[in-house]
Amino acid sequence: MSSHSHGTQLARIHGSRWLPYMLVLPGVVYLLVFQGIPLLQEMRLSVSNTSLLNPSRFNFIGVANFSRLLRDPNFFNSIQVTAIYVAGCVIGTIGLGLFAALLMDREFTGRSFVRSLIIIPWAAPPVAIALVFRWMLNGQYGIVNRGLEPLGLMPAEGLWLDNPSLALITVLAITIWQLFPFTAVVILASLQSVPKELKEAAQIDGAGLWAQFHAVTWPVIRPTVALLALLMTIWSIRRFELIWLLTQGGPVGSTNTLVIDLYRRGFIINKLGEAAAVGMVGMAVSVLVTIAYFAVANRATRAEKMR
Amino acid sequence: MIDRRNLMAGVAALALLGSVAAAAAEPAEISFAASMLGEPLRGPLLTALVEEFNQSQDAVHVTPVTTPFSSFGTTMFTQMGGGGGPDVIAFDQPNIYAAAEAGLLVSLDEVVDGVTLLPGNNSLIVDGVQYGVALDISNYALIYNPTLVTKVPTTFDELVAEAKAQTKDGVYGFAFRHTQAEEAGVWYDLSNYVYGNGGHWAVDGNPTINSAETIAGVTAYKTLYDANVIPKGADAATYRRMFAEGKIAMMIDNGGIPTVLKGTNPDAAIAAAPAPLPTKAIGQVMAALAINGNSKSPDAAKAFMKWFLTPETQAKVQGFLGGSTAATPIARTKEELEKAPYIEVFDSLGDVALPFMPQGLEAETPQVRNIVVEAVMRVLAGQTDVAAAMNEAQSQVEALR
Repeated sequence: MSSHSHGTQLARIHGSRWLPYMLVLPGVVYLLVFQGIPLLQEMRLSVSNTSLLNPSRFNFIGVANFSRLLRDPNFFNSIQVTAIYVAGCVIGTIGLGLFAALLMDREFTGRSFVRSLIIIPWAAPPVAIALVFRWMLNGQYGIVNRGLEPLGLMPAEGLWLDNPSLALITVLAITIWQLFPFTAVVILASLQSVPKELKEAAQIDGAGLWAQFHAVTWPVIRPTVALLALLMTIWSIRRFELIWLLTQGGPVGSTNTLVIDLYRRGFIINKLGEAAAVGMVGMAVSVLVTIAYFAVANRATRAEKMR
Repeated sequence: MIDRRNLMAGVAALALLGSVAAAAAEPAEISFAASMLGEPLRGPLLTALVEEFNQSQDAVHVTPVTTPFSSFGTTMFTQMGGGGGPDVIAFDQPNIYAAAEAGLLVSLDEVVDGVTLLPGNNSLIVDGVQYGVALDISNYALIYNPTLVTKVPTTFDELVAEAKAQTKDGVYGFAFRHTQAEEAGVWYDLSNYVYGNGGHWAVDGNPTINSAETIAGVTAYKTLYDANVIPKGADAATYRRMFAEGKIAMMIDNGGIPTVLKGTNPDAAIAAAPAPLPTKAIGQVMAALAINGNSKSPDAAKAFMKWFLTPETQAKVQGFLGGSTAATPIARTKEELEKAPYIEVFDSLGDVALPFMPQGLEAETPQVRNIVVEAVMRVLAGQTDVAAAMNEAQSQVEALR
């Protein structure tokens, strides 16, 4: 084939009205196979009383699983726990990440080393983190209690993860410790795009640190922070392994998030149908959060254009 | 001249003969899953026993598969639900009921025909069909450190008093599982107090979670929890290690545990006595062998099971189970009893020991267990009293039916 005819063929493909469809086709096929079909299967399961032992045995029961969930106080508790956990994760990781990013954005000796060091918790596997923290927080031989005992700061009976009042806070603290490096690094990257001359101008005008941040830095990093908030929300709703390995949803349901509840129903008490119904609720929540995010983002963009 | 059709038929016949010959030469491959295979002491011995079977004949080859106890049931059920799973599975007793009810197990009536089984195996008969045989049966009793406990308690009040007296200088008087993370273990330990107070979780399929006897059992469990005599927050692995190190004076545990304790510390001081509770009834835990209904070689699996139940094999199994018993009656040797005299205590409880399942609701054990343990966790946390929690649990279990 001559280079001329090859070029003509490429030009024809480029001009084809099918090109955009061809380009998105692999992505669409991937989503259909790995997201769409499982989602449809989950919807189907949620209206059945299918058991883990007979997943192919389908018995339609309508909305019975959903009405059972509505009568189940444990389900409402898991929604409440999820809401607290997600809010805590988003506020904690972004707050701490922003603070760390602002610190790392300043000039100081060993900055590169600190930037590399801070990413370690994010890079560590959640399973290892959960096991290490279980050891550290153990009531009998944990290093945390050994350190706090002389200071008189040990919790009642030395319990952290087995204390209904402290378990969720402890799980949240561990989650934030693991995730904040990610938000810090992303915000730090965003901080690099804040124009230096604007900062200098603000300083010359006598703006304090807060005024500089509010008027110069924040408008630049706000879209990044908003995107991080969305990602953290969805990831926190879905988080399983860290919570399961730390507390298995206990004690007394104090860390029983929707995903833990789903696993318990599906794989501990073998009710796949009921678990699928919990999954549908979780998905609905995630979709609502995403819609809310895009609505807010669109409004902000429109407001920006009108300025 | 050979025509094309005859040639093809000849080739097909040769291929068939070849595969038959290959089948005759190759042993049937089956897998055997048990959490015991992963235990530090008994695991290698059970693996060696499986290898002994492989060496003893050419028709069947068994591959051992290890899965941890904590995720064993979930792993097996997920695989079986997907149409797969190991051929022979050592299930936790309640899982036999759930699997049998789902039609996922092979009848063992042919395997146990002519074999004298211990009475505990009767609990593995579902709707008149034997779906499992015991790998090990362990009765629960009071295990104590005789260098610490000189006067063995015979009543619950004496137990609490002795536990309080022993709790000093880094030693705890007692230990049991008490956290949500060990739900199955809490269920076992709690059940001992319920059975020992004459209670049950259900009778003939009717929940009896709020009966006076069951409430008395849960109250006894809470009394010990509140007495500040246990290492709170310590899981079973931790407090058993502490016992082996002389830091726990007493615990109610099963007959397989002394072997575990000796594995941690060969010099650990161990003695046993019946649990000091109002009645003699106590819990019994069992790992039971079953054949997966998805097995592609059920006959090979049955051959392995038949070999497992022969007196010679059972004697070897009994030899490494410690205070637990095998599926069939095997007399203890003099050496065994001299080495571990506490074994007699565990053996003596076979007639009064009860499985950790609500009678008549065996297949619903995971659901009932979850409801009861969550209720008890609320009691331990001081969020409600025993009677109110058990009334609530009773209502929830009744709603399951």
